[in-house]
Amino acid sequence: MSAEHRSEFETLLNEFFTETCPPELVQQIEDSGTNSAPAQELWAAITEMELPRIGIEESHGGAGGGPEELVTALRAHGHAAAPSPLAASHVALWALAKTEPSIAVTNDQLAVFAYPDPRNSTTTTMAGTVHGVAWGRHADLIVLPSPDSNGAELLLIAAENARVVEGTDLAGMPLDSLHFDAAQVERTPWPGAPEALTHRAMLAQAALMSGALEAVTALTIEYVKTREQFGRPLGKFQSVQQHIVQLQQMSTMSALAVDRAAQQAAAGNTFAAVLAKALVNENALLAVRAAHQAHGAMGMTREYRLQLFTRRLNAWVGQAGSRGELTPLIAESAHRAGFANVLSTN
Amino acid sequence: MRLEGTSLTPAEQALAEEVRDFIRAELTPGSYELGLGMPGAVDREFSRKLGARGWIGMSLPPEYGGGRSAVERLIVTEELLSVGAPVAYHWMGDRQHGPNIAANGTQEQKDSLLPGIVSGELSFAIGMSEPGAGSDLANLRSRAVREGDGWRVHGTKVWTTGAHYATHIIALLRTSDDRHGGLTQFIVERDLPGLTITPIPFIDGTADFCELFFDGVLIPDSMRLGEVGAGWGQNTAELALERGGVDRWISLMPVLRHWAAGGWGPLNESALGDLAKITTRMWGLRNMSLSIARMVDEGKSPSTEAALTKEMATRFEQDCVQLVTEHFGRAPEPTSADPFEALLAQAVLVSPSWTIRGGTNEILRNIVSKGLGL
Repeated sequence: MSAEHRSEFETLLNEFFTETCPPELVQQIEDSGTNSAPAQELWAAITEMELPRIGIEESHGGAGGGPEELVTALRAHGHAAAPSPLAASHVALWALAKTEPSIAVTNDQLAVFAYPDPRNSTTTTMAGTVHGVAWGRHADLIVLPSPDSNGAELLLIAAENARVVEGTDLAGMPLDSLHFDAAQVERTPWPGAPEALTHRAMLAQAALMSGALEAVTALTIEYVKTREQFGRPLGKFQSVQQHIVQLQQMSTMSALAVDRAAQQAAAGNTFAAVLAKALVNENALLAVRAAHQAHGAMGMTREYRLQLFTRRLNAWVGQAGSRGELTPLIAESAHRAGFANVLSTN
Repeated sequence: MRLEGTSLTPAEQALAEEVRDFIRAELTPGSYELGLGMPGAVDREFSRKLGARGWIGMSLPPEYGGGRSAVERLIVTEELLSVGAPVAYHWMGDRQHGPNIAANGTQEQKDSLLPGIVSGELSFAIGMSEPGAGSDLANLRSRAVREGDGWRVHGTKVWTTGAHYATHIIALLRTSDDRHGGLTQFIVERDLPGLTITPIPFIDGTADFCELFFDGVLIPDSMRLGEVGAGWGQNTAELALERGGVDRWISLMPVLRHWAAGGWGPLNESALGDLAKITTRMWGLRNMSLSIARMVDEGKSPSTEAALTKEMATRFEQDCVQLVTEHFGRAPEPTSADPFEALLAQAVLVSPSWTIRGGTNEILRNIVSKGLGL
């Protein structure tokens, strides 16, 4: 897709989310629960637009497009703080489309990818628990890399074979554990590179975060331009400007990192997604502090929408590529391949 | 404020490989004085060799030996600075003064100066700051008064890096009392009578920092660069786009590479963690520099984006010094026989200047804030 087309696509998506997922709806869904009618309507609209299938080949039940289109869609979703399992759903669909034979999932079924959680057991020879499954309670099918296959296999857990223990993440979104009996779990070979799954999930999560970062930056700039104290807008004070500058730096750098990682993925290099997620993780934390500082007390309320973004950013830093997980991966690459090489090959 | 993601084309990657081959042949480890990025060592012969390869003045018009893109220049400079190459002699002429002369100079100026910039024979220094005019550059007082065919100049410039080895100084001088509209640029031949250059010893003991004393120096009008009163805009243009360059985050690179490769011993877990952080953020900054260079090649002027980048890139460079020094263990010694330790020691002392030179971080934040409409 050319830059112009991507721009049009992005505009279309932003309009879609503005219409179907205004900020009031986000808070309403959190308050009334993700099982509520508004939540289901939102997800129905998203699946009708085929958004989870962007980046999956049409021949495999996808909507076409590649990683660059995928991150555009996820960025718009993150920008709207939309409460839906778009990212987890996409990674599951993408994985299932790649298995041989590929496994079809209809639009009224929800498959989610369960990113490997350090609390998960490393073998599946006994009854197991999958932790930290975003939107797990709503899933018909949970997809995850089999921990004892060196990445050569996927586990498929059907909802009827799992017992859900509900939890929430920092943003009030479903983050559940599922207990399953090993005997009832299906396995299917994973033909791709072992790390391709987690890299895809990292790219998706980083894309969500880059959208939220852009929203936070715009919201904060708007706030400091309008809020007045001492007879002038907050944005006239240099000490406040410092926070805005930092926000813009984090936002611009993160969106670019995600776009570059998507380009690299399209060209067959998925490691750039690790760098992107690691970078966006750090950037998000700096941005959250700057945004809250510039907003003062108002930003600490549930009523004002800054929290919709900052709680998500905090949650997403630790999901699909936490700092503790990515640091050794990047260190190993820099040490082994050469520090300068990591830069020039990603 | 989005930057568009871009990657190097195969031809551009081939250029990078070509430069690496050149470096392998010409800059064998231990055979040259390591530098901290742009104020590297002065090596006229090396500058000439680079010029002969067509790697200086790349962005100048093709008829003078340029005709390459900003991205290609980024590739060359990145490879050179990554190994601490001795580029100081030709650096300023290549980075900003050559393009300025190409854009604003007379035909005579272009014909007489651009070939020497491209060949690496000429060296330029920036005559901007004054005792009373640092960040508030428009406050400058050095005066050029028209006298016959020339301009009589009185005043003092400070912080002029490299003036004592430069062949030319681009001086921003006041030609009328209009604060911004009364500034004009001049190309000053270094050996003009009345010009005294005195070193200002720097914190690390080097003496590249200079004071220029203009005591009735007569500059021919033929050496005026651009229109009378156009100096402010020209000077700003010189500064603006270069803020996004690799030189803003790459200063410690030779030390980082040495440390990362185990040059000071194996890295423990803590060091590996910091290496990961440095790698990640440097990748992120490199993305920014590359995208900005592409925009320049598209005829755009991403000056806010460049200021945005420089403000965080220079802080990152300073963070690198802190992290590496921590893992080095003891305080590095400036006179160490280990060139990397000596370079790290130098970095410790001079790194505060990284967020000051070329526009302080405070000024850059003002520029970005203005660009965001605050």
